[in-house]
Amino acid sequence: MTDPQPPKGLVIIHTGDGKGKTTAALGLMVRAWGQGKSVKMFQFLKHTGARFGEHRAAEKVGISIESRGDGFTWLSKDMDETTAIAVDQWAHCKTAIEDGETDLIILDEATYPVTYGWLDADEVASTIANRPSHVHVVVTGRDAHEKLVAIADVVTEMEDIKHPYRDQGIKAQPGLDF
Amino acid sequence: MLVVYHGPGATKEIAGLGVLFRANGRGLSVRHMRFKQAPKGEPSGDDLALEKLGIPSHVIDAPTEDAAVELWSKAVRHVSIVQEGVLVLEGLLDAIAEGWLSGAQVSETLSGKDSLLHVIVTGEKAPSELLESADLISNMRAIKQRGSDAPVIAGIDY
Repeated sequence: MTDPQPPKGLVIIHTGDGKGKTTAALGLMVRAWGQGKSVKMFQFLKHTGARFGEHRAAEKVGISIESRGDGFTWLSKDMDETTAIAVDQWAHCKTAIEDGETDLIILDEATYPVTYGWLDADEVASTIANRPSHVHVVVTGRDAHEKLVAIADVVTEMEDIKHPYRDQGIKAQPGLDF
Repeated sequence: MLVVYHGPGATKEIAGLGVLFRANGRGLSVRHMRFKQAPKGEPSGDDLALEKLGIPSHVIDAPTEDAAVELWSKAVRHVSIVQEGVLVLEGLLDAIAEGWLSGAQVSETLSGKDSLLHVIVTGEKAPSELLESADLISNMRAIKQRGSDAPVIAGIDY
């Protein structure tokens, strides 16, 4: 028995309207980190310099989470600026995907800039598809573009069965939701 | 908040780990209990990470009724004493589905928890009582998956 090849890197997508997409990606990041793998998370949309629970936890243990965004698009006053931030963030993602130095790369909320057309779907899909073969890439966000789904090995839909912020008007909880 | 992540996919289990990481970052009191065997493969990346993060974790070595009942009694005690933070009960739904624990009793205990203690329950299928009392439910549905003969990968599958 020989085991000459490291396992092929996977493309994993967490999509759907339900909660748990980013949370599960964080869990995967933590699991890989537990195994001594190098991990990185890039967050789209979430404010540059956000200090959510995941940022604080990551900082303590030396995991890199880079957030570049201006919050939620429907609040944005300057769409050119919003697009430019996403394009800049993608350039950072692309470098990390292509240099092969990170075992697991999470592109959090990356479906939105693709869906909104701020990033070119073909470019994002082909960059991920042509990554170094050992690199795992996880993409989260609602309504994953068909071109992303097409190159994925694993796609999980988080289906919204009960949602307290919608159903009961409860506010998002620090530590649980962000 | 009582949160249920259920469904056939493996993703539901790592969601619990993600919540623990996030809550730990906020400095909340966090605790992990696993009612099933660790995901295939040794050593478990989840367990290594929990240890490195200093998150207290209680796991059962083999899935049996006695082990599940004993661990559940720890969870009951935790819920009765601890008034805030996050408690993840990984695979609890599967212990209920096995008939080792009563869905009605679990639901009653978790409904009585302090509102600032967030409990995350995972597993394949949830009993109706728990679906009723949960605040948030997501079903993890596999749209695309690897073949059953795909190699198991450290850091992804375990």
